[in-house]
Amino acid sequence: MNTKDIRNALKSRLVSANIGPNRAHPNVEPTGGRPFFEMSFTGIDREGGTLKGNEILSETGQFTAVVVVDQGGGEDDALDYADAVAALFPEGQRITITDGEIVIRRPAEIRGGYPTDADYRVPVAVFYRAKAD
Amino acid sequence: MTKYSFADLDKWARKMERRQDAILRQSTNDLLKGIDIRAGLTRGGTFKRGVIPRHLGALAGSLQSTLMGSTAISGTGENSYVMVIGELKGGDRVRFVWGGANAPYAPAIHYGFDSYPGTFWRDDAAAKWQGYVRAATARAKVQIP
Repeated sequence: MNTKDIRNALKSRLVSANIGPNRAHPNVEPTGGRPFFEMSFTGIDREGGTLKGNEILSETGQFTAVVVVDQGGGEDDALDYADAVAALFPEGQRITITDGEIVIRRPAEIRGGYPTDADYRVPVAVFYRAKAD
Repeated sequence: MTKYSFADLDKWARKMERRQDAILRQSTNDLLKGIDIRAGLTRGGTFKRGVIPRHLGALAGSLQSTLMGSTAISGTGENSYVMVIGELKGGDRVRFVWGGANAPYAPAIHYGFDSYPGTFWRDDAAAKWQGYVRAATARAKVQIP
């Protein structure tokens, strides 16, 4: 179980669902313009516990997809996309990865939207726990 | 270790309450104190996840701390959480919010905008909560034997 597998599994669940907007992967410029999802990972807490000391037994973290739409057009579109993202990660959802499994710990949170220069953004926080087999 | 009998159940319950309060206060204090405030990009700093970037201090200073429970307290300021934690007891509810009129750009700094990826200080701190509680529990067991 490694970081790349965990993150790619969560990202690809969002990408393969094909629910509309373009995607902006971490460290990649968004292509195709708004609307798009901006994906990031944060709040990582890992547990080891093996005598070797270099194995990850579990990782608890947060996958955030920020829905980015045009500013000034209301928030309905952004909230529809946010609900669609949340529906992809229901509580208890299991995603198999190499040498482990990801479990969604609780329902996704759709946070308050906010305007920036030309965008309106609605963050969706997905809480997961990855466990090694 | 102190041994309790059925006759002094009240004494045991009071000790547990003291421990609960100590764990709650210590964990909450560690959570808020653990959020680093450092120079932002406009002040020559480097980007780092989990921190509050400081330009003129309005964002860090916008922290509004509110205690809803045995005592009602609300205050604003970088260290406003201290007075809330001082009165915090098991069963109370607390709320810590950044932004408001003093720093309406708080969500943009937290979640990101344009080419700025966001520092996620609130989410990063929340993810460490269980660790803070574990440490505070161990400490409370020693301090309140």
